[in-house]
Formats: sequence, structure tokens, C-alpha cells
Amino acid sequence: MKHLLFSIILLFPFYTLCGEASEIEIITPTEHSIFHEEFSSVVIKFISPEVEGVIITAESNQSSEIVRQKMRNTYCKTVSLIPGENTITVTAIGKEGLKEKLSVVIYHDIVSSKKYKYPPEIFTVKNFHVSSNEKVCIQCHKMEVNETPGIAFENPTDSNCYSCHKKLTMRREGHAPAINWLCTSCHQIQKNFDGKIDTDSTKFTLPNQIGKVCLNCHKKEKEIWDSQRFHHMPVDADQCTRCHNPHSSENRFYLKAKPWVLCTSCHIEKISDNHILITLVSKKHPTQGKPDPSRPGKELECISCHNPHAADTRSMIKAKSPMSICIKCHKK
Amino acid sequence: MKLLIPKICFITAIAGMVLSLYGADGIEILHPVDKKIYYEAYAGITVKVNDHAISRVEILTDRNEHFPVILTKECDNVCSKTIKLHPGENSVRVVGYKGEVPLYEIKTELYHVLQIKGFKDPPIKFTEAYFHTDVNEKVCAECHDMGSNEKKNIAFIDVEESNCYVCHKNITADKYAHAPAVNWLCTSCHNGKSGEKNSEEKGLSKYIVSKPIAPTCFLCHQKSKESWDTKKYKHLPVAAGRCTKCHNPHASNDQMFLRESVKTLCLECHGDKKLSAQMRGNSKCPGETADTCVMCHNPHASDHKFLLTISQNGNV
Repeated sequence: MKHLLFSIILLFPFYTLCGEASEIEIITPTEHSIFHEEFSSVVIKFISPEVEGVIITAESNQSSEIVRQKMRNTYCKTVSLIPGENTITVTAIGKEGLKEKLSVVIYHDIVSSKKYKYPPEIFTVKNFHVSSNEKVCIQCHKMEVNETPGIAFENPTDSNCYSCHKKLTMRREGHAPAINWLCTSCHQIQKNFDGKIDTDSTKFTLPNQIGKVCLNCHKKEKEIWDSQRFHHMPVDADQCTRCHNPHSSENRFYLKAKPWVLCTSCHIEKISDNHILITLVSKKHPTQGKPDPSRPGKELECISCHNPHAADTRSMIKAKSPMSICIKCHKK
Repeated sequence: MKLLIPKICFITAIAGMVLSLYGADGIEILHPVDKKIYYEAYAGITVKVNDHAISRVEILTDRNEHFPVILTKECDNVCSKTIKLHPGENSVRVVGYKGEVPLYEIKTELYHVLQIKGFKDPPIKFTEAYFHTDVNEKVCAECHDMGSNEKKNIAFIDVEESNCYVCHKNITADKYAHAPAVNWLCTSCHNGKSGEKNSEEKGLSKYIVSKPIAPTCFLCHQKSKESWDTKKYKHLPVAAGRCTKCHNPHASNDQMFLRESVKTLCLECHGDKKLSAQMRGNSKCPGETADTCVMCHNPHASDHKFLLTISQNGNV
């Protein structure tokens, strides 16, 4: 009996410590999840009534505070991510100072970068819009889709998707379906065989071959490309989003990076190759960093001469024959 | 003198016209059409001899090979000869002789595509052409049975019985042969159906194959598809459904019906790995010859980065 009492006394502080480990809960992001875009929503639930606020710090050295309001336990915040691993730390603050520190590690992958293309294997893609998560959001947000397919919102902020995902469309060039918040044009609502919305995996899915979705609107491109002899492999593999950001981008054509950067992420040998000219004496043909004489006002880049999708000429040259592209710049 | 130059010009022009007319009439190449693209190394040249003075016809290649054509009167002076093409542009001459005197000569240019730099993309003047059209088959039908005589999925006991065999036998002659090809079940793949990427070619030939080819391959290789579909990363040609970029669907001298050796094929696209592949070639990896990329990388799909067969930590 004495022993038992002793052990209870010994273990008591440990139990209280365990109890303290649930002051707050990070609902999303889930530990070891992958993010394709450079933002993540952080959703925090205050469990203990003693927590007065939290400080969220992200890898990008950005920190933000959330002060508790009356009658509200769940709070959201969007944080910016850096390429690769990101640790998001949430510090709960009470009257006496720090109460608890929680952190999650997530990964922002970049398909066009060799370094950030392959997240370590513990990271997986996790879908947010499952019923268990949506149950939490529904206290403040309308979680149903309120768009009429194909009809743009007069005011995009009316879209139920807008408030959480608005950052996706804030870059310079916005893709029409995204900036008009017609999200379900691409993120089709997944229905089970009985016609009910599937909430166990995610409501909003994308097919593996995204090209099938893109070409619903970009039909004419498909017809042209199919009739041409040589196709760029990502085009044939329906991997449009390998180079293009379907929401918005700072680059032309919604490209995920500058064309030269994108091209050389696969065609690495073209960085050091003697491009076009095989000579030891003269300089190699430039592929960037010079004005493009064939397109006044623009810089020379791979797509000055090459068609990135399909062509009838070998090496996917934007002319009838390899030589006729040269005279576009090298006039007499 | 002033009159002489136009006179000479006139005479040479007339002579040229007569000669060219004569040249076209004496012998004809019924097949292939000029500037045809070939994916296999063999081309069947079909010649028609119209001038009975011709005693002998020979096909000459730009590598000085001579292929004599045997004339048979029963076939209305139509005869065929299969020649071997070298990679890239082939200039083929068909010469009709009277005794030892060459009377007629026709030239044709053909292109043999290989998945190797320099031979991958034929110049624009070369086009794909299909042989098995009604017009062509009518000519062949005088000697050959042009119908397909195969029973779906039933192998020929004697493959020479296949109507396809006599003209196409060379394509299965390599060391490793793909079952449907070597059993002459040609229509398993050459089903005349066009695919998503070649719908405009529909009806151009009875034996057209679909582009992309993968759905046809997956009819048999279903299990491969299933296992690749579940993988995190796919090799781009696999995702694009271009199986025949690396594999020859008929036969090959390399294992797995590969069009070239593994290293040659991989380095075609991954040219930046040439030196590291050479370095690895000299190192001693356990097991087989160390210089093949596929010892560590899966060429189709994988759950591990860089399509490694196992993860860098050793997890399968």
C-alpha cells in the first residue's frame, strides 16, 4: 500500500505534465504533408481556457499573432512557405507567459527544381477538405460550393472558397477560372457511385493527367499539337502543370518560373553545351541574357527559337527548317 | 554564235524531256513513295518493269550495296526486293539494264529513324506514308494473298503460313522477338484503330496503330500498368504512353526488346549523365556488369526519388 501511494505521488507531476500538453491543437497543416503552392493555411484550436493567444512563426521568418476573442476557439492564418522543408511553430501564451510550443514540419515541393522536386519519403500529399476537418471550419465558414458552373462571380469575394484561398490568385497574371473563382471547373467535386459527395477522401479532386482538364477549354491547342509531328513529352503526358501554374503567376503564360529556368531544369546539358556552334574558338550561341533581335524589346530565351509544345520541324524549331530560324536574327 | 546558245539550250531541254519521260516509263517504283520514313531497318522496294528490253534490275544504295531484283514474267513484271537501310537519310537508286548497259535509273530518298541523336527527327521533307492502301494492295494481290489470315490470339503452327510473313519476315529476325510479332499475330496491335494523338490518320491504312501506343501494349501488360499507376513518380515516356520510344515491339538484339543498349538509350535524353555513367562503369557494383543505369534506377516508375529502385536509406 505504501508502495502504491509512493508511486502515485511520484507519477502525479508526470500526469499533470501530460495534461498540459494539450493547451492548443494544430488542426492543419498535418505533420509531413506536401504543399505545391507557396502558402499554407494554419488552423489552431484553443483547448485550454487559459490560453490567451498564439504566435505563429514560419520558416520565412514571418511571425504573426492571434489574440483570443470571446466565444471563439478556432483561428486560421495563412503563412508563406519557402522551397523545401518548413517548420511551422505555434507558441501558446497564457497569463504567466509561455504555455506550450507545438510545431509541424511540412514540405513545399517545386516540380521544376531538381533540389525540391522529390520531397523526402516521410512527406505525403494530404487533402484538407475531408469531413473531419470541415466540421471544424463550418463554425465560421460556409463550406459548400456556391458557384454556378461557368458563370463568373460579379464579386469574387462572394465565393465561399475566396476567404481561405485568396492568396492563390494574387500574383501578376491570373488564370481566368482561378481569378473568377470558378474552382470546380478543374477541382471537380468527387461523387461516390451513389451520387453522394465523397467526403472521406476529399471533396475536390484533380485527375492524375491534368491535361485532360486543361484541354476542355484549350481544345484548339490540342488539335494543333496533335496534327504536328514532334511533341514535347510533358505535353504528351498531359502534365501541363509541370510548367504552368493554373492559378496565377508572376511570369508570362502563367509559367512557374522564367522559361530558361524551366527548360534547363530538365535539359541541364544545355547550360554548359556549345549550343548550336561546335567550335573551340568562338563563343557559344547565347541562350539567355541578350536581347532577342527577332522579338524587339524582349530578351533571348529558349522559346525564342523553340516551340515548347509541338512542332513539325526537328528540335521543335519555330520555323519551317532549322536554317530559316537563324536568318530571323542573322540578317545580311 | 548568238543563235547557237539558244539552240543548244533548246536541244538539251528537248533531250532532257525525252530522257526523263523515257526514264519514268521504262521502270517504275511502285513502292515506297519518295521521302518515306521507316522505323525499322528494312524497306521493301517494289519495281515495275515496262520496257521488255530490260534484262536485269538492280537496286543500289548510297553505301554501294547491290541488291539484284529477280524478274518474273508471271507477275506482270512487278517484283520486290527488301533492302537494309542505314540510320538516317538513304539514297536508293533503281537501275534497269539491257545486258550490261544501264538504260533507266530512278532515285528515291528514304529515312530510317533511330532513337539516337542525329537520327531521331527526320527533316521536314520526309513524311510517314502507309503502304496498305487499296491502290497498292491491288497490285500485290496479283501474286500475294493480301487478306489477314490470322485467328485472333491463336499462334500459327508454321509462321510461314501467315500472309504477312513473306514481306515482313525481316522484322522478327533479331535475337529477342516479342511474342505477338514472332507468332505473326500482327493485328493484335496493328488493328487499324487510331488513337487520341493520331485521330487524323484514321482510315489511312488497314493496319494503323494507335498513338499513343501504350493502351495497345497495356491490353496484355495490364499488370505493369496497374503497378506503375500506384507509384509516386513516373518516367515521362511512360506517362506519355510512348513505350516504343525505347522498346522495339517486333524484335531486338538487346534484352527487353530495347532499341539500343540501356546505357545508350538513357544517355540519349540524360546527356548530362555521360561522365557519371562512365565513372560508374569502372566501379565494381555487385552482380552483373556495372554500367547499366537500370541497376539502380527503375526506367518506368518508382516511389523513390530519381526513380531509384530502392530508397537511398535502403527501404524498398
